[in-house]
Amino acid sequence: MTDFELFLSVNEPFAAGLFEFEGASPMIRFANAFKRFWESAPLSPYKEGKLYPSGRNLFTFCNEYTVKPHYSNGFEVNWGALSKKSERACELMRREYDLVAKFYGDPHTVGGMCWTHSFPNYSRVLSEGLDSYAKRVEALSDGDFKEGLLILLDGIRAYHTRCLEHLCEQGAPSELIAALEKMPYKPAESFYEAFVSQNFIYYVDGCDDIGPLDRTLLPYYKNESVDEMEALMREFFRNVDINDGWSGTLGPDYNEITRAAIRAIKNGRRPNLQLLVTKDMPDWVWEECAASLASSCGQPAFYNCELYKQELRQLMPELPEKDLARIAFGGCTETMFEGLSNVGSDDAGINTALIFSDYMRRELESAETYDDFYRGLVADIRRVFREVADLVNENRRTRALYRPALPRTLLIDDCIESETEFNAGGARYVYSLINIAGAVNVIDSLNVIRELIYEKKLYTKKEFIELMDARDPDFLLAAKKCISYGNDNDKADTVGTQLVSDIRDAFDQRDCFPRGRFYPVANQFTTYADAGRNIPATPDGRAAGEPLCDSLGAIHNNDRKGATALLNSVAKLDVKKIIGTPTTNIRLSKKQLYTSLSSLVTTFFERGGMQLQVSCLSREEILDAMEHPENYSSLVVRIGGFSEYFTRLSPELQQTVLERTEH
Amino acid sequence: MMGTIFNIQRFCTDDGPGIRTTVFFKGCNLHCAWCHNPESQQGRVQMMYFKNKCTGCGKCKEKCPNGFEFCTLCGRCTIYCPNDAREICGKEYSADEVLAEIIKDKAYYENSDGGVTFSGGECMLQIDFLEEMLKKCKENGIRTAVDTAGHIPHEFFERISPLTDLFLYDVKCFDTKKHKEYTGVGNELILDNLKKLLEANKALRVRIPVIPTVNDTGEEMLSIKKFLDSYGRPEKIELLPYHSMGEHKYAALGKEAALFSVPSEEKMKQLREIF
Repeated sequence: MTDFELFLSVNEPFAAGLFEFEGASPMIRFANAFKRFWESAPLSPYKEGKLYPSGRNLFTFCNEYTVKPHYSNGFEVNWGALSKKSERACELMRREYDLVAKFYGDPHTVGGMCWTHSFPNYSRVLSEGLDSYAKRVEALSDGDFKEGLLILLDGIRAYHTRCLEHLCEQGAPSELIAALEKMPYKPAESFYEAFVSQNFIYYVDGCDDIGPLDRTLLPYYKNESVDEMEALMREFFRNVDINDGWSGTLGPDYNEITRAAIRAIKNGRRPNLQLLVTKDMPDWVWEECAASLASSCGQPAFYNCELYKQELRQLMPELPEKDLARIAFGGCTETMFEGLSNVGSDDAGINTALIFSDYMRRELESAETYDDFYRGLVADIRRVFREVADLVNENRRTRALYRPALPRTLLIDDCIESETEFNAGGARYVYSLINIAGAVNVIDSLNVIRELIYEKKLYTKKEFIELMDARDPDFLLAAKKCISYGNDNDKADTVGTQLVSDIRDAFDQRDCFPRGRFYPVANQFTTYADAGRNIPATPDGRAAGEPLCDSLGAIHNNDRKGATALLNSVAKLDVKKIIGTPTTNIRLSKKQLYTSLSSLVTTFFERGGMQLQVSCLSREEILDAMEHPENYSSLVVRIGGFSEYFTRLSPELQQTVLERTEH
Repeated sequence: MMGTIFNIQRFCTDDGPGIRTTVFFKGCNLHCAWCHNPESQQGRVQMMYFKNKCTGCGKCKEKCPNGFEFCTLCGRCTIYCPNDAREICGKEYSADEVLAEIIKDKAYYENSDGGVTFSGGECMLQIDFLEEMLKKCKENGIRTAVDTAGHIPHEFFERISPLTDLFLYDVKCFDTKKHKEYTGVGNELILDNLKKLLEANKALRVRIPVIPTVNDTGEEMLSIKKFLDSYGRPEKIELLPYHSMGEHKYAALGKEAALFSVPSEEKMKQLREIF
C-alpha cells in the first residue's frame, strides 16, 4: 500500500493529498492536500441566515479527520487519534512535522510560538473576483509555483460547488444562492455580494482575520440601512466567534459601515475590533464606541492612527503612502497591512522578567552602582534577543522550505507577481514581531532596587534577595512604598523609557528571514500567567509563580493616581517604539465612558499613547461573575490584547482582571 | 504660603465640566449630617483608622515612637501598616506643590473643557491660599471652579470671582431652621451670597444634595426653584442623591454616622422634573 493509499484508507484526505505524488515539491503536495480536503470534508450544515459558509470551519473543527490544514502551521495533527488509526501514518506525519524547526517549550515562547496571523487582500478579491486571480496565475511561467496555485484554485472551486449544492439541497434563500453563484469569482456589484464574497474568502483562508471591514466594503455601499448592515455583520461576527477567529479593523475613514460594525460587536467577543482613531474622529463614532463599551464587551479598542503611520514611515522608508493607508491589525492586535504582509505576528517572545530574575540573582552582588547593574541587564536582554531571533529565523527558514501557506500565497500580494510563496517572502511586507513580556515588572523591580539598595542603602544585596524570597513583611512594605511606574512620577517612569529604548535597540541586532526586521510587540495574550509560573519572587512585590503584568499599564493597584496619571506614564515610555502594538488596559465607570472617553483617549494619543483598551465592569460585577459564572456566559473582557469570554479564563486570570485598578 | 489639603484627585468627572483635578481643602464651617467627606470637617491634620482593614498585626504599635500612648501625627504607623488601615488625613502644601500636580493633566483639561476644581471641606475658609492657587492656575491657562457651601463673607467672593470660571454652589435646604438643625448654621448668608452671584451673572451651577426626610419633597425643591428664578437661572442645577459611601470614614475618625436612606431613582426623576 502506498502512503497515499494508506491515508485514504484511514480517511485522512489532507494527508492523502500530501503524499499522493511521490517526490513532488511542497508547493504541489500542499496544494493537492488542500484540494483533496476541500473535495471531501463534510460541510457545516446551513441552518439559516444570509451568509454561507457559516458555523464551524472545516479546517479546525472537522472531527472526521486527525490531520487538518491550518493557516499558520500548515497543518495540525491530533497525534493520539492518528496513532490509533495507524502507527505508520503517524510516523509519516511526524516526519513531515519535524521538518520545520520549532522551539515549543522554550521559556521565550511567551505570547506566541512560531505563529503567523495574516489576512487576505479582501478588497482585491471583491473588486477583481477570483477568476481574475486564475488568469494571473495562468499567465505565470510554467513550474511548480504556477501548478500548485492552479491545483489550489481547483480545490477552492470544488469547495464552492459543494457549498452551492448544499444550499440548494437545504432550500436556502435564492438571494444567497444567486450571490454565491457569482461570488467570489466575479467582481462584486452590490454590498450584499461583497459581503458574501468576504465571508467565503474568510473561510477559504482558514478563519483568521477579517481585515478592515469598513474600507473593504465601502465601494459597494449604496443605500443599505445601518440596521440591515448590522444584521449581516452580526451574522459574520458569529462566524468569526465560533471559529475563534481574530481581529478586524475600523477607520480611519468613518462611515455608516463603521457605525454598523460597532453596533454589531456590542456584547460580542470576536473579532477583536481595533478602531483607528484620528484627531478629527467625529463625535458620533465616540458615542457609538461608548455605547458598545458600556455593554462590558471591551470593544472596540483604540489605535493612534497618526502615530502608527508616523513611526512606520520612519521604520520602513520604502513604504509608499498608498500602502501605509492599508494599515490594519491582525491576530490579537498586531500591526499589519491589508493583504500585503507576512509579519510573523507571534513568532516568539522575550520574557524580560525571567531574564531580569536570572540576572539579578547572578549579578546583583557584583554590581557596584545602579548604572552598572542596569547595563548588565541590558547586555543580557541583548544576548537573549539574539538567541530568540536565531531560533525564529531557523523556524522561518524551514517553514519557507517545507510548509507553503497556500491560500495566503494566492490571496496576499505580491506572491503571485513575484512567483514567491508566502512563507518564502512573497508578501510585499515581511517582518517579525517578538512579544515583550514582563516589562512593567522589570521597571518596578528596577525602581525598588535603585531606591532600597543604591539610594537609601536599606539592605545589603544579599539581605535584599533573602528578604524578598522570604516575603518578609517589612521588606514588602518598603518595596511597596518605593516610587512606581503608573503614577506620572518622572523618576519612576524614566526607568521604563530607558528600558523600552534599550529593548528596541536590541532588536536591531538581527534581520529576520527572508528579509525585513524584528520589531517588538507587547501583547500578552493569556500567557502572562504562565510566563510568571517559573519565575521566583521579584522586587516589585510579585510572589514566586505569580502572573506577570498583563499589559504596559501599571501592576495592579500600583497606579494610585487615576487614569490620566497612568496614561501619562505609559505615554512617557515612548511606546511607539513597540510598533507591533503596545497594549494598555484601563477600567472606567459607565459615567466616565459617556463623559470623558473621547478626551481621555485623544489626549493620551496626543501625548504619545498608541493603543488603549477600555473595560467597563464594576468590581461587584466581576466578583459576581466569578461566583455565578452561569449568569455571565456572554461577559467579555479585553485581556492581553484580545477579547475573551470572562468565564473561559482560568481563576488566576479572572483574578488579574478583578485586580485591575478601577479609575 | 501653605494650605491644608486632604486629597488631590485627578481624573474627576463629577466636579464640573470635562476632565478635572479636584483639590480638597481641609476644614469646613458646616457640619452636614449627611457629609460624605467627614475627614474634611476639621481644619487640622488627623489620623484615620480603618478597623475593617486592620488584621491586628501590631506593626503600628511596634513602630510608634511614643509607644502608642499619644499621637504626634508623625505617620510612622501609616508607613508600616501592611494593610493601609492607618492614614494621615491632611497635608500642608505650598501653592507651587499643588500647582505642579494640577498642571500634569493640563492637556486633558484642554481637550475636555475641564480644569481644576477647588473643593473641600470649604475651600473658601483658606481664602488667601485659595486666591493664590486661583491666580497661579489662571497664569497657567487652567480653567478654575470653586465648590462652596457659601457660608462665607461676601467680600471673599468678590476677591476670587474674577479668578473663578465657575462656582459649584451647594444649596442644602431652603428652610433656615431645618438648615441649622442639619448643618449647624442657618442659610441666610448662603442665600444672600447666592443671590448676589446670580445677579452678577457669574457662571454658576447649583448642587442640591437630596436627603430623604430632610429635603426630598416637591415643596422644598419648588422653594429653591422660585428663589433661583427670581434672581437669574444658574447654568445648571444638579440634584445629587444621598449615598452612604462616606460611612466607613466616620468610623475611622471615631465618629458615628447619621444614616439616611438612599433616594429612589424614581424619586430623583420626579424631583429633577421640578427644575
